Amino acid sequence: MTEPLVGIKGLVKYFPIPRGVRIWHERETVHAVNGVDLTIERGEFLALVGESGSGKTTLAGCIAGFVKPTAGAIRFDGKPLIEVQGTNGTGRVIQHASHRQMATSIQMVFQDPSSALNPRQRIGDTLTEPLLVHGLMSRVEAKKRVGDLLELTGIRPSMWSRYPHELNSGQRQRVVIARALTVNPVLLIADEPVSKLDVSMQGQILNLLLDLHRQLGLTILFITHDLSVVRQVADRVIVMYLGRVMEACSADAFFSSPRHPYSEALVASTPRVRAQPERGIHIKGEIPSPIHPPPGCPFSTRCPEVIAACEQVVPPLHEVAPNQLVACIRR
Amino acid sequence: MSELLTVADLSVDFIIDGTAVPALDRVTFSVGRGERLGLVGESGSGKSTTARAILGLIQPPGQVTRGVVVFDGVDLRQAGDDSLNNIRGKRIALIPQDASLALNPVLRVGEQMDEILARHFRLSARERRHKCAEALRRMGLGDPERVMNAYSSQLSGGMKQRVGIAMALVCDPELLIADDPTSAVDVTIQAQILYEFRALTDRLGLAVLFISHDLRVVSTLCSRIVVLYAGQVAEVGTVEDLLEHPHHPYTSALLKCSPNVALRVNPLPMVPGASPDSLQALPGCRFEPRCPRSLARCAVEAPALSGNGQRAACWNPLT
Amino acid sequence: MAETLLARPIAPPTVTSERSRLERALHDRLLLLTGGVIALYVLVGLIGPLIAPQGPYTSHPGLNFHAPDGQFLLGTDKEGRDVLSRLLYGTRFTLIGAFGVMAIAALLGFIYGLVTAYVGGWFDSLSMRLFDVILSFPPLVLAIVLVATFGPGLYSVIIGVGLGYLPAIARIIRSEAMVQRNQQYVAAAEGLGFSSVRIIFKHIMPNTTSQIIVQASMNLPYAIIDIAGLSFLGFGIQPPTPDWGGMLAEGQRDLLFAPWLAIAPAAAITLLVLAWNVFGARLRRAVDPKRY
Repeated sequence: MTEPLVGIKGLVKYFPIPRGVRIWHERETVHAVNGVDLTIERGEFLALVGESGSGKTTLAGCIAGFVKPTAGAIRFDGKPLIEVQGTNGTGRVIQHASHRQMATSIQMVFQDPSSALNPRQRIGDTLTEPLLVHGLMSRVEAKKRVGDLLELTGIRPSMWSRYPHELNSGQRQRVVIARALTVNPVLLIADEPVSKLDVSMQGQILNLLLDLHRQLGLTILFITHDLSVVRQVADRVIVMYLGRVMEACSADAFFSSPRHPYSEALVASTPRVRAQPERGIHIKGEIPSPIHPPPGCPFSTRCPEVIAACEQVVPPLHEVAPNQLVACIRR
Repeated sequence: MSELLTVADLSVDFIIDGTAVPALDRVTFSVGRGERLGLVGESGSGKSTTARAILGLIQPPGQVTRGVVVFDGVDLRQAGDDSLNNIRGKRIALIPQDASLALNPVLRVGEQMDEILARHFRLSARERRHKCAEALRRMGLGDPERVMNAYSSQLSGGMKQRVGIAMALVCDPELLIADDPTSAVDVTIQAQILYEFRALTDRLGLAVLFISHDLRVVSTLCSRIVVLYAGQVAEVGTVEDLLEHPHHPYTSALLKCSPNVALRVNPLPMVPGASPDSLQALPGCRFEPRCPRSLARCAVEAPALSGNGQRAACWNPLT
Repeated sequence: MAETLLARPIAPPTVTSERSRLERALHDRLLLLTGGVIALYVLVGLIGPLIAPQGPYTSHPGLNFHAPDGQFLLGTDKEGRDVLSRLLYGTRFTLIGAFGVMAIAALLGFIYGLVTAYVGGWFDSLSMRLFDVILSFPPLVLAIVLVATFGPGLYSVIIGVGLGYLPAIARIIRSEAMVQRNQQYVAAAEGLGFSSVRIIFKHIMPNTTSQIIVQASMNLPYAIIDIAGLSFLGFGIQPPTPDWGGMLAEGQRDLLFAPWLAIAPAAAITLLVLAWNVFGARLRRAVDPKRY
């Protein structure tokens, strides 16, 4: 069996909150990622799903290199990428590859197309710059390569000399994706790439990502909170809640029979055309603060099936069906 | 005339650099008593502008150039400041899109709610406090005293949104204008709030103008829908009519493009181009450049709403 | 590629980015006009002595405090020197002084602000505390200290006043730059492996030029006046060297009965400052792709 493209073990990320004036208070931390093991297989389209406070963006930031983990290890393409020795947050961080070196392997596409492009740079320059910086080719060759990319991503050549504000958000998002592709990444991380787009334009970007996935064999990590979008694109789904993984399984398994109570609630809460509103109500309450996560299962404060044991022990991820992992002691 | 709110021919222009940019163009619809009407549109459709125009909150460089807004027999455009202030906040209330922005960070929640009541009613401080607590309790906040004593920064996103709705309800209005009130909260919280909102408005018999970009949410909550595109009404009708047999190509496109958690569609439908965000005064139908059914006439002459019950502004509607 | 609901192509919106920024600049008449005025000043600075009717130090005894007339177009001062000639000679000193200060304050402040915003950490904290110290002194006092160290003269004054203005400008640029640094295009550039130098100067800097133009415009008149003040106190340009600020300060004394002594340099300063500010504003417009 080939090693997965990305292997994450025991990943933890805590953000310390500055105390400011209140120096007599205890140091508080945001437990953004609270112990995550997961893998990303080569060539798969993986959806990472969660609401606010789930830690999905922080996790992606750790993989992409923007965020230094507090503990845990990440392996990429068969080699260690970053590991933190020691588990109490004061371990030594060994970074095996710098940000710059990883640039050609992992690329990230962000949520907001309007701030993701330099407002003072023309589209053509934005797209040729990565090629020139990495010294991969001359200006003339770069222009040709970008021309191919434009065709691949459906950007019209007339946009070459335009500024970002002259494009609509769908076109801007395409440029952002094209820019990420200039360096031939192996893994593309897309963080809520369609959340800020009109519904009538979401299809453009989603179809583009699917095409890139198929034609280039691109591995895609798709981060979102919207399960209806996940249904359209993902091969596999991982659900996170308050910094931990709740469920990991194939998309088919997930949508036909989600196992974790939180997954069920998520599916039921997803708006659909003319649904009965009562359908969505499986859980009450609010998402707890990541500064003070509940002991035991993070979902215990809202779970309709909670028992005493749930509040004491963090349920481990275990296999309930082939390739379906759930972190729940009742399932 | 049982309609609580009637909007007819409402047009709003924004004067930019000397030219008039139309933001709303002859928008027409009505909300019956106790009815929930959904106003659906994407970016640039003019839905927030519509809400503000109804409440008379359009400021320069925007101006209402024509049209009539009648609330319970009162012409809001002609009304004097006194009657307007008597209606705004008291009989028509606005639920803001993002409560975190609408709540004053330096005032406690209770103080802000109290201010609204004091503005509109002659009640003792204790009576006001009681009403505020009632409104918060109705919105599912079990410990209203604690919420009223808190500052908005101490509340979670979901709680703030509930406070936003409670503030709109505190004066027992007849009409609620909800400007995309759940887009800023997580999906599990959204489901709860929408459920409670529907139950509450049913129980109180409130009329609601529910503005959203999400057709799915609107179809669950409302009985009738108005579809807005680029400042014009594309179609209006009951939820059943619009979902089962949309007449306007844009309505049909919206339906097809809304991703469905129950079904994978491959490839996903989309509408090329984009909603015009810098509108020029186009003579014809604004959807024409993107419409698969456009005729020569569409670019030249803007269609008016036509039909019975279910009405669409289209020269070549679907049947 | 993907099945769509539409078969026809969409016409792209008409755009105005076809012209380069230089073209836009050259088409702006006000920009050209004020640019021309500034160029004129520079020209006079260069050839002033050649076109002055008299020497700047030549005094005409018995003709002091003479009102403007055919021989002395702007009158004479208390020593009987031709005001016009002094004005023309003094152009270079004033320009060197004012632009010198702007070069130090705005240019260095710009770069400092950009770098410290991006680098952050202890360097940034240390810089801000250092700025706090500098800012607690009035710029003139600081300049006096520096001049006392380096000796009087135009260049000491320029450095002194320039360093006095630098922290305020650097701070403002720093806040702009920090806003930009948090934008996603900077994160994207980092993710693409761009060097810090490239990100600071090729990505963040162009998005802060608007601010620096504003700062440079706004501070020019203060620079002129501060240099004048220092000269007046004896720290900068020593009389009888003609310098507009100095002439203005002296002229204020005799305002009531020889107003031309103050009006002439004041007008020269005002026109320069006006042209400079309008030039700056139009330049910002030409350079910013969104505002055209």
